[in-house]
Amino acid sequence: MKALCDIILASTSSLWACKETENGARIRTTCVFPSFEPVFVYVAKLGDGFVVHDAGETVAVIMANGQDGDPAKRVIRSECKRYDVAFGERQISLKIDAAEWLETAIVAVANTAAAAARNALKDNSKRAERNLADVIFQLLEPKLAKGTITKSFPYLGESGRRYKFDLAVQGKDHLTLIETVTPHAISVNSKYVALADVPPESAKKIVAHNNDLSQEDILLLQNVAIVAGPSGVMDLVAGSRIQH
Amino acid sequence: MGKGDKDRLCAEIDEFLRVRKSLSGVQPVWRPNGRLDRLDAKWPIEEEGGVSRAHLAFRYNRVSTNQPSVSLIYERKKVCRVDVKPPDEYDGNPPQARKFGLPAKVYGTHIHRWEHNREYVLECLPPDEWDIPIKEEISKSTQILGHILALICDHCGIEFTAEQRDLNPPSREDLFG
Repeated sequence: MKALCDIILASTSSLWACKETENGARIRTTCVFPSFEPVFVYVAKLGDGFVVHDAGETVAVIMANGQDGDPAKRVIRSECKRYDVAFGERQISLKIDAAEWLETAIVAVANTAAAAARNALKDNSKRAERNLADVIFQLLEPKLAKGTITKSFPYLGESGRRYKFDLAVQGKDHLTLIETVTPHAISVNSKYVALADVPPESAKKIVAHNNDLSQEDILLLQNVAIVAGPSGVMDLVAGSRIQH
Repeated sequence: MGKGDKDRLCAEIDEFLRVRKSLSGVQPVWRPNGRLDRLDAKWPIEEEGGVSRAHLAFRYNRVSTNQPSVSLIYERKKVCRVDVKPPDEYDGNPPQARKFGLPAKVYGTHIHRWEHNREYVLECLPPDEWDIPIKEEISKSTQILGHILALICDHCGIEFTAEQRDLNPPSREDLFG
């Protein structure tokens, strides 16, 4: 029988695989971006030392998720401080003088790339949720009685956890809670948890999205709420389907 | 914790390390903590006027009993730590360790000194995070609880008596009870 370590080493041989490219030697690390794609880092000779960098892939991943400009750079710079890593216009890098520091530098650049992408995406997702909540608020407010719609509505879940729902509409004898969701796992998962903690008899629950959720996410969220785009939310709340 | 609060706390720690202080009371009581193979103990540190804001936190592994660890904790924040490790095992240093001339890989027993980590805590981590990852190798002869107690006390200016120094490891009944 094979020893456990032999099985593990045989099945994980692609980790830390190294390949020469025009950017330098490319190493597949054990860190991952939020999409679960591996973080690759590149090592190039620089005089007697080395430069370890991400070839701009972190910025590319963040851009591909709809984030750009100063907010993304701010998030990356903040993560770079943790491991003494530099950030130029597009590239995360660390210069080292000796091979002794290669392992540290590879780990530092890879972890910085993964953390920066995760935080930038979180930031982007939150901002997109806020923007959608603002749009829905502006659409609904003129159609409802004064003071019935509220932003950031505090609510005590059945578990005892406290939540802030993006929007709430308080009718004479019932409450509608609206959560805005973007097509990212962080957004879908956190909103699912909040809505699942509200018993159906306590409030009508609506997930609002920009008509950009996947079928799987819609089906998942349907377990805890009605799922609708902005016009659907208008119809549900200001129309005749839910009375206020 | 905001940046200003962290600044103030770091300055308080600098002052705490300067003032006269001593281990308070008899030897600490070892208690199982979470994992079955782990015993922890806390030993309060007393400043002049009976003020007590810090303690030493000991960790002792029931299985690999040759790897005890002790940390100086000030108001729930780690300030200094000594870890006993086998000489062939290493822990990595973050890149910031280069400015102190420390190696990338630290083999065996080591100390996390406040003076090496203060800037890291204050400038490299977000305001709500705290850790002291920069470490320096120390003598391989530092292996037992009494040694690491004396080392951290000497390093952080904590006075202790000969009786206190004779720190007893958990008894066999504690280890296998």
